[in-house]
Amino acid sequence: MAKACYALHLAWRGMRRHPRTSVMVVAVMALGLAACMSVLAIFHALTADPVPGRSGQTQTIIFPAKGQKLESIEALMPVGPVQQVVDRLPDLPVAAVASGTTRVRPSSDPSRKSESDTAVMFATARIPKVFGISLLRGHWWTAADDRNGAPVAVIGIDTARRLFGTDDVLGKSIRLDKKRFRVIGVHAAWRPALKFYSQRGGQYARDMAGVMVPLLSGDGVDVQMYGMSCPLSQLTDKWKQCRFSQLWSYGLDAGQRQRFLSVATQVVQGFYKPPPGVTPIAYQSRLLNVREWLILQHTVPDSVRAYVWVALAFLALCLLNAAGVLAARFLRRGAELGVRRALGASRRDVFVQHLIESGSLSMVAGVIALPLMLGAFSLMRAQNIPYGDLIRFNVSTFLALCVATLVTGLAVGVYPAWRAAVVPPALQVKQN
Amino acid sequence: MSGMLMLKTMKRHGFIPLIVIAQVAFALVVLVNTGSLLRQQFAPMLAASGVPAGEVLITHQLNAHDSDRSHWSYADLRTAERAIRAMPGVIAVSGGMGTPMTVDRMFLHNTLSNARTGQNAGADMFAGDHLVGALGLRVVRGRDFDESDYVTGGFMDIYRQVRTVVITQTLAHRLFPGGHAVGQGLWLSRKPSKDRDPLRVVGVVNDTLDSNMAGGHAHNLLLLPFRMNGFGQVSFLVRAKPAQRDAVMKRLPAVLGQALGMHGAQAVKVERYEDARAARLHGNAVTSWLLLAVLATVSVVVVLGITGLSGFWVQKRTREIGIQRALGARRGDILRQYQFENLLVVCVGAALGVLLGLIVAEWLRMHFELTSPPLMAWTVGALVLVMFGQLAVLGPALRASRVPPVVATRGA
Repeated sequence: MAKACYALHLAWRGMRRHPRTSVMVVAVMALGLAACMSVLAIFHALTADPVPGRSGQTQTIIFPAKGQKLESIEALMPVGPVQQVVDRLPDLPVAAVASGTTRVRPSSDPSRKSESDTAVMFATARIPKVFGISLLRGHWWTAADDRNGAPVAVIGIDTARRLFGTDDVLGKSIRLDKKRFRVIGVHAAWRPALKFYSQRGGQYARDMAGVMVPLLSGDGVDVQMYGMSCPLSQLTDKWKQCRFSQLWSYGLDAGQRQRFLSVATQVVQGFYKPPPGVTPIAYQSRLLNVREWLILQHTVPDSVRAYVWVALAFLALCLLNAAGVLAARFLRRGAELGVRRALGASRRDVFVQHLIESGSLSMVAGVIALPLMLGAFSLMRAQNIPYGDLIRFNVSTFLALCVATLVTGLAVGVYPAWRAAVVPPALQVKQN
Repeated sequence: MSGMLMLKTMKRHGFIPLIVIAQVAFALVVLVNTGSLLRQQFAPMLAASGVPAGEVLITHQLNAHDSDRSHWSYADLRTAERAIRAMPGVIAVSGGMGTPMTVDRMFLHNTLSNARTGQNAGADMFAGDHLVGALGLRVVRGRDFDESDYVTGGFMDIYRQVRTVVITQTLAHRLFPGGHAVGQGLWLSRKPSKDRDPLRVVGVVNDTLDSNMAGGHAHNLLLLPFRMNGFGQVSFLVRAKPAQRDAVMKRLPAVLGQALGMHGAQAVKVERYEDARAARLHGNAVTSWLLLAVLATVSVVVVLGITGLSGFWVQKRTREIGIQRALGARRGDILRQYQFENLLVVCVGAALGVLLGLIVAEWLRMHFELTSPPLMAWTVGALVLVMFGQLAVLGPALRASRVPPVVATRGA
């Protein structure tokens, strides 16, 4: 204990003796840590597993023509064929999903101004099984409701409270755009880290679907959507031709996968039947799990990967710089160290003393890096970047910073401290 | 002093040159990559807008919902255009879709191809009523659209009915290199459509900015003669005399709101072209400052790092230098020796940096389609670092050259 205190005391003296290099080491390490950790935090947020434990089992289907490059748009199909696929596989956990935003309000209260741009998910009956959404009240709609396009809705508990001020909303009605839907169920909050079932920029949206309705009931509702093949935001009359629905499945075994693939391909092939005499397109359908789907969509923008690489190199530069400065500083004390060694200090004592000195410098750097990171985050959030909403400082970011500080402190300190520890006492006394 | 002897000295004090080499390598990687990211950010900020200064106004997307309708017919939009043109000071008006700076949140982007050679290029498209006039563009070759070119219709009619286009000089150069674009055919897709004729280029206008100004092709732009019929969203481009633009901007929401039957003027947002551009590029400006700060930091860190380590090295070798001096080395010899040593170390570091950078760039390119900085950038980066190295070592080298020969006789 006393020894540790002494080492600490020596470290403190060491820092005070070289205020200029101490400031430099701290500044350089703080900059390196802040820059690198900020970029890594963004990268982490963008690569987070949206459905932990399920993402490998959750698969979507994509329909590229033979020999064609895989493009995410090929996963989207018009509502007709996807509904048909779901109907033809009644025993499999398969559902069709389309998501977008529209105006939602309680229909009982016509005076209330409708909330604009509420996220709505249009889906088929087996969606709770496929995405793992649990129900709190009431019931989900049935396959028959799917086929009839029944105007019924299952809304999230948050949405229920926001619209009606209570959880007890069964039997009440809401209006999506101008169409009236009866609320038949309330589902638990469901917030994947990324809106993986959306397309393009929609994946970064923070608002998860708070309203779910049968796919075909969306006819006549004016919905704004990302990632359609028709660049229209008014779907009312284009509902039938536009490609914006996607099929998702969960936990299929090999045989079921095969069946899903062949049925879906058959349906799509039938839907896009060319006039007689023209060769039909040969589809090479594939299943993609959530991870593969996100990669295909470039959910992590390429620029972010470039920034990660630059930030890592920057951190390496900063650490090398700090290590160099510290090594020079420790070895300048050669004579004094020689005396200490000659007076009986062990190699370990000298090593620990210097490790503590560099460790405390890196600790200070870590503390300074924290406000730097917060500043960088708020600066980035203020910018108009698509994934801005995902950039936030949380506990895991803080813990990562602590670990990084510790590791860099060691990385920077071990080599110089070892160099200081191995100088033989006799030589040092003799020199200079 | 011979090179071999120098290498031996360096080997004896191995760790200092090694740290410098590693620092230089990583510094080069950071400098070059940051520099190329900076260039990407700068490109749209430097691109010429091509529109007359102080004249153009852009409305944000207007929504038919705000007039309690699902869509507007062309007759509605024409009424609105007439009302705007009647305002004092207004030179030209165009209703349309796709606007500069994507202020209407809508943009059309297609890969176009030369109907004869198949040469293709990506371009944004503006579809509207009198775009050339409303943006104040200059017709460089050919002509502006005339009445017979205009198509009135729904969204798909852009692809089905429109027969003529006007393109910018840059796009003309990309699609029809070395030839006249006017009179040539192009497709609004990568491949020809089977049952139709290609669209004909009737005019080439001076370069102006596209919708989102990204990716180094901010000047690839195509104009379509199109009158929107049955659209739920529309935006307007208005050009006014500079002296009267602010007055027009002030009255425009009320005039448009009334003409289109919208509730109140607050649903109509109008921006000056220059403001919209500045707002759109604000992010680029901030990012550029951040990247410049990184460049400056890296430069300072690497220079201070080399200075510190060289200083320490000189101090360690004071006696050795003294002996050299005593044996007849001149001050200039010592100075040159240290500078040469530094040159050697920095060059090795730079070579390693280029190697590392290229390997990682290649890996990124293979897996994520990221373009790597050009070889030229690596060369310039390496030269800059050599310069930094020489600058950083100057102080310690001068100190070394001032070590008097008498030091050789001191100490142990």
